[in-house]
Amino acid sequence: MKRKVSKQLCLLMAGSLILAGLSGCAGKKTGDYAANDPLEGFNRVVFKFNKGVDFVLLDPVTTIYKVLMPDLVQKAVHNFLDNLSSPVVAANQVLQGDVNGAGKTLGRFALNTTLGVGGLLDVMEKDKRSDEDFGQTLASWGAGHGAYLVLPVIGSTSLRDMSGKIVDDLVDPFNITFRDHDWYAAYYSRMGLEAVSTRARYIDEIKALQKQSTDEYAARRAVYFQRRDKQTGGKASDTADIPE
Amino acid sequence: MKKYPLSALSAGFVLSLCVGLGNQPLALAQTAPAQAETGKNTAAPLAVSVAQNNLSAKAFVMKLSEDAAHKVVSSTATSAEIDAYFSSFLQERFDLDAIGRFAVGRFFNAGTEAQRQEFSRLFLQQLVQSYRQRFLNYSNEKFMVLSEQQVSDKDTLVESQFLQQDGPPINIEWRVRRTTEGTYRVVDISVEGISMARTYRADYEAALQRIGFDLDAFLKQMAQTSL
Repeated sequence: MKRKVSKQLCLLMAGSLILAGLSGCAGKKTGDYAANDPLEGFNRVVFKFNKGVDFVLLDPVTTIYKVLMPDLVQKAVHNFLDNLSSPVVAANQVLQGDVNGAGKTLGRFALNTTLGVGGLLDVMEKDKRSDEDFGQTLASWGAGHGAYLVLPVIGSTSLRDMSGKIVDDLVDPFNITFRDHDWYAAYYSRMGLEAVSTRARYIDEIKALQKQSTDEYAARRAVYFQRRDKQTGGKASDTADIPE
Repeated sequence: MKKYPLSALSAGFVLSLCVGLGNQPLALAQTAPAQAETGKNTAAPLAVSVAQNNLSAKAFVMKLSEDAAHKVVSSTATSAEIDAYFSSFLQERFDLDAIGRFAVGRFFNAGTEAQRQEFSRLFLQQLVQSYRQRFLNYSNEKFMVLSEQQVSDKDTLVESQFLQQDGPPINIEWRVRRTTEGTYRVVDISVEGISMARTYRADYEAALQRIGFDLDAFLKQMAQTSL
């Protein structure tokens, strides 16, 4: 059983590296986000579909969550989920050569898990949490974004970041435990809760962008790439060419 | 035995990516000043004075945030009053013309003066609306200017932070441009690396392209979204 999982893992790792490698060649990092989107036609269809899903499922659930749950509970849920992801974050920090950062992440994980009552409290909430994923690790190894992808339900991602997500999911110690014990209820609950919790936190921003943008798809795509660029290089968006 | 590890995996993966999707500070980029402008101030004049000569870029951003907070603090203001205030505020403190031309300029070169003016009007309207919303959401938070760095003859980047009551600070970077009168105007705001100007440009470019660069149709679309 264990061997099977690790075999899958290796395959996926290799696959994602190849994908990311290929995708690195696919597009130059220019300001033109459309150049990174060869599948725009497909993506736009899925985007529309996702908006439907949001409307009939995710938004109502999120609204209920926001209305029923006190802010404190919402925050605890968010802290708890963040804390659960710490081992994967730390692993990625190590892979990116940031051993210090990994130590900090693990220290915070230890503190929150104990003093923070299993992660419900974040004892260092004023410090920004590192949020490293394998997509970012691939980027640090030189992989470009690759093609932009909008996947059903998932939403915005790229070839590189999608590969990264698969790897992160596979190596996450909690997910491994859930899978090994067939605790799929726990596994899915975590994912569902993450979706709702995150949606709840950003719902105002999401709605605002929807309202403001003339082409929402393009705006979301621009935000996605800028955000990932920032996360992977700290490189600010280049607006030096704003005209006089 | 696990029967469907892969299907479980893929479904889990699907959901986990929702998180990635949601993690975007999305509209923050387009609404940054509203956040930033919530510094505490109660005595700023309604009509913002132009006499800001010799201010440093940092001081300009700080003052901007203070002045913007003013209207929100006085909760008696009607929404029409707030809109009018932000409208003049934005026109005075932001180089809307430059931002607008960055966003759609190349396409509007062939356009008529009337089309350009209509664009400016709608653009302003859109900004006012989004900023106003931000103000109400963030009026309890604090704003802090950190540093400035001159990056070209006229442009200075000002780093600032928006301190949330709970949670880590949000980084906001302002690109301000020196005017001939010796004051500054904002040409871009980036919230956690997401630039307002670039996001608008990507948005408008795509919208224009999709309707075959028909400026009138584009303006109609814009008018609809800023309702």
